[in-house]
Amino acid sequence: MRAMNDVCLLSAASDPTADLLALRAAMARLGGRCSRTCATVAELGAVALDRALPGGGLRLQAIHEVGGRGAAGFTAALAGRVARVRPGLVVWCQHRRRRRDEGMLHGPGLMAFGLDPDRILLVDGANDAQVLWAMEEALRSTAVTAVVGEVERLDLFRSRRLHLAAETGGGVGLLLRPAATLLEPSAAVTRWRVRPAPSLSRWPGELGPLTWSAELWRAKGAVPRRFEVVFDEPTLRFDLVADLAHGSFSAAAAAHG
Amino acid sequence: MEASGPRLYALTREAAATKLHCGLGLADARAICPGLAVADADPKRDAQALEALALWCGRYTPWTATDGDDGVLLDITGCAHLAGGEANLMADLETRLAPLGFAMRAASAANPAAAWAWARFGTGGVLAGTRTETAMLNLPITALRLEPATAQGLVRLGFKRVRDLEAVPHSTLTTRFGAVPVQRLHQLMGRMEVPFTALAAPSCHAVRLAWAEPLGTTEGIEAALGEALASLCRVLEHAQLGARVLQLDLARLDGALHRLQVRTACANREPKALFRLFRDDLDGLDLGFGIECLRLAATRTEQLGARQLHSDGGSGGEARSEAEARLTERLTQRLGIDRVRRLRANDSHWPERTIRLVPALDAPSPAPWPTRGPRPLRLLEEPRPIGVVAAVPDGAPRRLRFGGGLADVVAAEGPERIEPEWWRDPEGQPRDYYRLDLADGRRLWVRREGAFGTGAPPRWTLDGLFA
Repeated sequence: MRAMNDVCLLSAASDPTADLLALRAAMARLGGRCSRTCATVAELGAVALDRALPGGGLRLQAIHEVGGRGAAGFTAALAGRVARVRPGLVVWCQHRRRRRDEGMLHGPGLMAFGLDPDRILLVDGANDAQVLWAMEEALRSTAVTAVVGEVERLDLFRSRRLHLAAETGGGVGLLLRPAATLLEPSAAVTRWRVRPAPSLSRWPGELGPLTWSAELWRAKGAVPRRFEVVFDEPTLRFDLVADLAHGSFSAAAAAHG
Repeated sequence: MEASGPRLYALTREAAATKLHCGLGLADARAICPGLAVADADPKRDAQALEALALWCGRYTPWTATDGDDGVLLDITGCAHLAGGEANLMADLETRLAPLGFAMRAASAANPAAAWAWARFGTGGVLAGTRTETAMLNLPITALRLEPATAQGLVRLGFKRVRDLEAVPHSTLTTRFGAVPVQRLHQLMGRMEVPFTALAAPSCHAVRLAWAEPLGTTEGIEAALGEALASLCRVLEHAQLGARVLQLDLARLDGALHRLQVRTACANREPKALFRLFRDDLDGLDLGFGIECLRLAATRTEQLGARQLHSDGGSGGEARSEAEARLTERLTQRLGIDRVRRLRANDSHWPERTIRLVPALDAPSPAPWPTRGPRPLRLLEEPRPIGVVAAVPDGAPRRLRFGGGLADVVAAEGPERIEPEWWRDPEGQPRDYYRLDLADGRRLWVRREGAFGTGAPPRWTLDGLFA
């Protein structure tokens, strides 16, 4: 599997033409259900960001991992983008202990990320095992847009189970995890390492849009990259931080080009 | 003078035949009967066992209740003929309870007070017709279920039997002993109603299955449950109702009772869907020597008109809300009703009260959300005190001390003043909320309570996180 990925990456770098599409189709057949070409995606809004993702956006029927402190907002924004293409329930599974430490979801605050607070289902798990069970159960349901799970321990086997459940149900699984766990193997289609970044305000006394430094750390069929992204509240879409404002930021500049 | 130290709480039949009696000091009891075997009393578990016994008696009538520390009361009005008459019912009760280790005496009479007295002070058995009155008149005063002091007072005055009390004018009794003895006397003689509260109000939508041979396998129970659900759903359909809460009682051969409860997200009478809710709980059940009786009741129902449920080819929206209900039910069944919740708007501008967490199964219809200034993604359940350095006393923070470190504020927005709800807490102070961007990119929601120069220094707390 690893070798195949390399082949895919090489050809993507050298010549993104019909060969590549054919190769992807062939791989999709090999993988059985892994249909990268026909799977629906949720566009994130920023062209460069979507172009960097396989399929042109965040893939549905799959699980994605977001690691890092302060990544809850990024995850909520991802769920909000998915809700645009696939309306339904957003299930937020949380550890009871973590809720005490990090606070609980606040209805009006969710609206800033394009989520309808009335369509949130909040699940309290007593431990990681219960959170994972609830996630799997929710992902298998067709009524679900996205399932957000705050879990610490997750092995490859468990993440595969989640992925299969997501393929059955059609929603997106978003795993919110500590940054250190990104080194562990996982079946997630994309893995992000996210940390909050200073926002750019237009004038003093006003805060700019929420900003993150999001690193697409690993993705099947994509080159790892780092983006400075903002979530634009009025339009409810991701955007890249204007590269000029931040001096030379090669990844963003390259993506724009 | 009462003996100190441990005392006898209850006696076995053999011990009761000796000179021992309840309340006797343990040391005295050992002196009378050196080989006495004792065990610690556990009134709490006794009460639990009695309640379980009362529930078990639900096989004869839906109206059962515990009665005092040692009795179970059954209202068998209209139920006795199902067991072949009162005498047969009691015989059946005795043959079933004796192997389970219960020593019992059953009595049946025209009213609960008479039955209570006849079981304890009479010979037990069926008491009917004119026999009741004479039997009651011959009972001792204690059969009136009076306070020990009152009963002793009556005995001291020469009232030994109920008939002695009947003979004197009741008004004199009332003057001397209060209203209770006369009231009890009327109840015993059937001239006054005895209030009766059953353990659980019986549901009118219930199905009961009993077998000659106990069912010992989970598959068997599942099949039986399927059958019971199908017939219950027929009853519900006839009444145009759907179940919201279902209760399944499984009576084990050894007298134990398993009670399982499931809740549905909306009124439902689809046997297959209801069965799925029970399945997980059935799996881990200890069946013992087998289940001899199953009782399924819809304890909460709601109107449900005649419509086709679970249509596969239905419209997208309907199928989705159906799937949503199934998911909510399943999560709730496994995790508990308070662990699967929805957010609902509360009509309040006070941040902690803007939001309500309600069980997803009973979520009310959504109310519009207030849009009043930027609000954080997460609100801390308990605001954390922070230290603040500000440029001017009433200004925005420049530097924060929290979580064991210092953090510089690069940008601040505020204040947004929120006035307390005077009708809830008249003493409350207005709050000033700030949105702060820290140097590391975090965005916080902090508040100041109390203004500068009004006595106590203002208190700063961290209330929420934006990203």
